[in-house]
Amino acid sequence: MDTFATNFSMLDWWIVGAYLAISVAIGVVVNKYIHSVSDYMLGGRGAGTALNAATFIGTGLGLVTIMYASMDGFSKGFAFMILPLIGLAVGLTLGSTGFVIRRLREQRLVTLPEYFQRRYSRSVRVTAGIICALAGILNMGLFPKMGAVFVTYSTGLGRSQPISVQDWPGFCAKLTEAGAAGTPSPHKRLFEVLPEDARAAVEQGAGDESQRAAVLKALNGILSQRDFYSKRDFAAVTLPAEAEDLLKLGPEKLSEPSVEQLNRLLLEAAYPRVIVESAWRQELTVNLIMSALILLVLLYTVLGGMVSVIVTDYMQFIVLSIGLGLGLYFCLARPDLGWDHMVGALKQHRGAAAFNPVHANSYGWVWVIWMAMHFAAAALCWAPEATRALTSKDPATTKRTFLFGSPGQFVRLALPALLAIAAFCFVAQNRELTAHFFPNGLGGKAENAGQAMPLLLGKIVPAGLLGVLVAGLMAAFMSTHDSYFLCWSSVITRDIIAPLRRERLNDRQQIRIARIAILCIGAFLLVWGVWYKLPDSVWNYMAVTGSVWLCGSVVVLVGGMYWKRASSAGALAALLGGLMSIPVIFLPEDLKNDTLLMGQIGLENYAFCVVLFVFFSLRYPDRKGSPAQETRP
Amino acid sequence: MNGWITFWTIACTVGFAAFYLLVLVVVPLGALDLVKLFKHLKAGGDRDSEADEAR
Repeated sequence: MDTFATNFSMLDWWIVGAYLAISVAIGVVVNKYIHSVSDYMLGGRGAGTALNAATFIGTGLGLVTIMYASMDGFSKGFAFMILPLIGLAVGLTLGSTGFVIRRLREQRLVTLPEYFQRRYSRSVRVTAGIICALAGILNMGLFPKMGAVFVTYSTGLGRSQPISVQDWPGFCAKLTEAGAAGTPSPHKRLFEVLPEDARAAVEQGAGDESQRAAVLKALNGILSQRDFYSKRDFAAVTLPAEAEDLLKLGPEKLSEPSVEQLNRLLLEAAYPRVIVESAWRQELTVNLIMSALILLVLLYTVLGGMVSVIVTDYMQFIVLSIGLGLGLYFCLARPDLGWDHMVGALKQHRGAAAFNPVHANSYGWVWVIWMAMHFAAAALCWAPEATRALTSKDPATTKRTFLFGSPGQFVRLALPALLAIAAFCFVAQNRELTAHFFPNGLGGKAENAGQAMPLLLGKIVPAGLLGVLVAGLMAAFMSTHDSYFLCWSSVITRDIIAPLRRERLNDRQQIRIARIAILCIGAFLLVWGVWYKLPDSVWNYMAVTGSVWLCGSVVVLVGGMYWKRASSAGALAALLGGLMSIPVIFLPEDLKNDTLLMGQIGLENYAFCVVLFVFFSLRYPDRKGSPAQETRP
Repeated sequence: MNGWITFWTIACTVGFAAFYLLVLVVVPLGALDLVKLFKHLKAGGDRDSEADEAR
């Protein structure tokens, strides 16, 4: 059985396709309801509690969230569940107290940086707009790649692709000539290992279909041979870095899929443009699918604005809830998985660190406190989610949105993490998969963690229902992208371009600029996000890019609302202080995986922004008559 | 470790149950909200839009 084959069938592709077509059609149809910039950017401020809660959860429950939660759940076990608990606590606190969010809604804002102009000055608003958009767009840079990993492994595109030959006459001539020669070469090696019938077919030029089929069968059979590589025969061939890395590990220690990958790379290196680079072709297919999805989201977001975002997010909330629920059901109902098996597998192989988040081998206190700060800051200032505080019809609805949405904050991280724990249990029962995901044993570091959860779902959910599940997760991909596109484009339009122009922008101009900004962000994602190589530490990348905006903005927002002496100078200093997070993005991967170090840096950055804010506010207070003086709390 | 296992068992049960209860409530009420939203937009949407524009 192919280790990476899944139950995904043509029926499932049809279900996914139909769902995507309906999403786009809705987005296009609602375009006729857009009359003003408030309709376009905030859905006319007409969303009730239930609708707002559904879209609030839909935005937060993105495919990238599901992927990074599953990656951490796979390697850290139940300890990761501390993050969903923090999310739940933050949602309940804000929803029950209305802290900051109620006042934000009362001000009838379209974007968060607008508040900074009302409370401080225009320069604070523009600075905030630039940093907010920069951090947000950088943050979503990895979304398409994460989506591609999910699609690859849930649909079975990650399974081994058969080798194929492009230039039969050239291939046979080279192989026959080298086979007869005495000099060591990859061609001679290949000729040696071919079975008798395939060798005869090659010598005759593989002119007919039956001969070609015999050669292809032999070539694909060679993929699983552990001893195919010989240093002497491949000495003159320049091997790709991936093959070199696999050879360093030693072919005898590799898992079966890794041996296949190594032999595939060896053949492709020895026969460039003759033996088809199937891995590249497969990656191209996935990248094209993700590009097409982004284009679909762009289409309906550009046309329908927030109204289309609300409608599609609502629909996506339903599909996603059903899809993930199905995934959970199939995990818990399987006799070889189930709750007791999951707990038992983690207990046996990963020990106490898989359950205790503050264990010495798990996250630790510092990281947990940093995350608590980060979640609270994100709920208030991370524009796509904070915007939900502005789209509701009144301040009471805003509070209820956060309160009723809080179980969603738990589930959006806990459910994928639980599916990943089930994937761990599944992997632990399969020797080949264990070798692929845990080369140093089940107690060691997890490799390729992002592939585990989608692979599990692809294997345990039956065809037909798998289509619903994948459609739900595609929905998650789209619902996050549409909100993010609209949010950052609104910030660029209203908080950077509009304040810098001398003439006031009317509604039509603002909508036009927002649409152009959406297209530019989409173009950036297509180039950078789809075709960029995924780093190992996705969550840290996300947390750090988020910090660029969150560390400064949360201090400036809360300080502006609850501290009378807060000044524009203090606000500017704190916002710029958040940029201290940028160098962290470029730290080596092993340092970024050190949760203690990352937690310390994260907390110090928040503290640094507070110190800057207080010091500059006291040292350089606003003059009397300035906006800051007139709108003091 | 057993204390943590019990804790996560309870947390997951309560959390997932609360979420799916929420789904049962939010789906029908959300559909009603959606109808109201379209009526609101058809009637002209947020009329204070111009007043709220960036200065």
